[in-house]
Amino acid sequence: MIQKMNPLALGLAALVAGLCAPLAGADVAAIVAQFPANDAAAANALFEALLDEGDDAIEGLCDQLVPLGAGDDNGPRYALTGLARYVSRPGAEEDREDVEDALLEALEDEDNAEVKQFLLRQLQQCGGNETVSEVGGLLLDDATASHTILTLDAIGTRKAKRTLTKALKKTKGTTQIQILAALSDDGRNRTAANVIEDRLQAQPEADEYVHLLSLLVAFQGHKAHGALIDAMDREEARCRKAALSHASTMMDTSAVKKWRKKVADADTSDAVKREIGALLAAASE
Amino acid sequence: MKTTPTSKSTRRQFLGTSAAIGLFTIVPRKALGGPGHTPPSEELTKAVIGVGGMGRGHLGYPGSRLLAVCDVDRAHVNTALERVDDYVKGYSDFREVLDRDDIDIVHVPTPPHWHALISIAAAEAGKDIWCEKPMARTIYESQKVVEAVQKHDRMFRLNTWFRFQGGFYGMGTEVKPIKKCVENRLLGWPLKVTVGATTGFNWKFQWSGLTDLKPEPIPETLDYDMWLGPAPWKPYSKHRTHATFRGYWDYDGGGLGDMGQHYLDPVQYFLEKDDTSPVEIEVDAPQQHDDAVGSWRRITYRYADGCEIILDGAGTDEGVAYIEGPEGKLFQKFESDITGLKEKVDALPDPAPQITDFSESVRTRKKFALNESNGHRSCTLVNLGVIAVRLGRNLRFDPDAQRFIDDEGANRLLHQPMRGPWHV
Repeated sequence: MIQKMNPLALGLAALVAGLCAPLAGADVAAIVAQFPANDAAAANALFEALLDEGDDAIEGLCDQLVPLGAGDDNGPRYALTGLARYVSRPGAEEDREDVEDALLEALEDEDNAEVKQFLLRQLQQCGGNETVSEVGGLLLDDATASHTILTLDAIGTRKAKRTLTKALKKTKGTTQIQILAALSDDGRNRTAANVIEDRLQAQPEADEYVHLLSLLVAFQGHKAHGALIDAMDREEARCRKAALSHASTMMDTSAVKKWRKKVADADTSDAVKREIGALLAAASE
Repeated sequence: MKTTPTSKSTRRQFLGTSAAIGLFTIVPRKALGGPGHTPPSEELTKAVIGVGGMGRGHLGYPGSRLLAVCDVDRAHVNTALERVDDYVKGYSDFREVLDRDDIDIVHVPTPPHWHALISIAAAEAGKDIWCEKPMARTIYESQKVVEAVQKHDRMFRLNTWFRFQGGFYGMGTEVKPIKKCVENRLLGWPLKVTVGATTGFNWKFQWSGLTDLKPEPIPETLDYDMWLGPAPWKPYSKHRTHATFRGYWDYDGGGLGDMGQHYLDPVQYFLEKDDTSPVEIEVDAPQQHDDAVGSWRRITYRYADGCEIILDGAGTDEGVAYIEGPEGKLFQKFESDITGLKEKVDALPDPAPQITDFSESVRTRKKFALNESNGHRSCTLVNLGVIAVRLGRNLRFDPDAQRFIDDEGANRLLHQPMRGPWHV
């Protein structure tokens, strides 16, 4: 039902396919000049024509990319974005691999950061484990790390998660936090939890501390109560509030004991005791 | 053991407790309330985060007293502060606003790529939330908002209102009589609803970005890194930000993102689809750019029971009814091919009542008419359309699992991974 085209679209597709047939062996530039296509049928016919031209044609398109503002490369950008989306459709695995290979080749040869980012965005849509194997090194380059994490996060395979986990020990700062965030949906991850605990020990500024607490809860669940209790020693109310907020959603008997111990601690200030008291009171309701 | 968040202890509850345990001091008359005075303990307070465009309207929304404004552009903060009382404080970082214990409600009229993050942070900080439409830029993000709001027992309202008030753009009628007509099956079932220029909906429906942006110097007043927030880093261009951000996929979905939830949410309401989503989405659109949103001609949503919503972006469906069913049609201004339809509808009982004052919702802890749950579903309509337009292909969707069926390429667009350190 949904896959049926209406007669008008079918006619148009046939017309475009007819128009494009002579282009199959023609210069790729003639195909690219027709982007952006006016509808899916026309676009798909152009993508098929490009795929027929082979990997070299797609790599040739990548060669035409220029950094934003350095010239008009909308034709190749439309073509490559469209291709990446087209080959991500069901049942197009062979085409997807061809486009992925071409994009990876281009990525390896490219020097400009913005163009690399564009290529990584396309791999975000159509990349698979081959991409995972190839882009790990880009996690260590400040210019590409963020986009590479986005790509690996989108690919989301076990191999992608392993690559991100391995990179945790080699990265720092915002890159490391972005990797932690990308892994946080999967729950338990001892390496990630250890990295966070190390960073929390270093007592970073409040915003980062709050981010890390949230991530630690994602990785450790109830086991994070210890770190949340430690957060009550922070001077900034934001850190303590974040800890209390996380704790409040996972209070059980064992957690109550731990938090009571903190209240009983002679080093705990009266103000913090009151804050924890409110948590314990709410938990007992 | 009940897992009630500590953050639920509100400023007003604290004041009540303080009074009970004997804290007292001399307070001015207006603080105590009485005729002509609302005591602060009864008054709701708010902050508005994002005061550049839509946010300026939120400054004056009734029901609460404004205490703080926040924007990543200092110029916006300064402009807002010129319009409000002297005691209102300006901020550039929303996290400092959420730190304040004296704020009950956080308004979030930022660009949509920030909606989920700030709404979730506000929920975690124990605030109630008044969020602009669309609820979030992805289906995953609005799911996470639902989780956070419910986990922390917060009240949430989305800032579109046509399911309970207003003339509903060019329809020339409120939604209530339509709801009565539909729920009493006066048009039969299933129904086809066409939303487009010819049925009264054409305000800003097509909104496109530019495909030839060039890097420009970042204005001194703008914290561009914070403006981008979770969105991928891209060189600054003025057109990418502020009043024209809707034209770029990283931040919104063009006119569909801007107006879609206004138009679609009431339809979802009267079609009784508040807890489900379509199973098929068909699209007719030109090929889309990597970065800039383009136009589209038609999006068709089909539910499992056969009801359809058609977005006629090209405005070509001349003479089509707004709602068409097996028993009859309904046009603008409640005109119909059913004789005496208006009189029949007038004689029917009103639909189930809704809470349409957010202050009441906050005070009574009862869900607002358009809340996180049904708001997520109507935002999902918007985002399903966005994904189909971007991919240029028809899609099948599982409304329970909230994933596309047999299309991992489409599933990759359920969420846009976030740039660090942001995450939901």
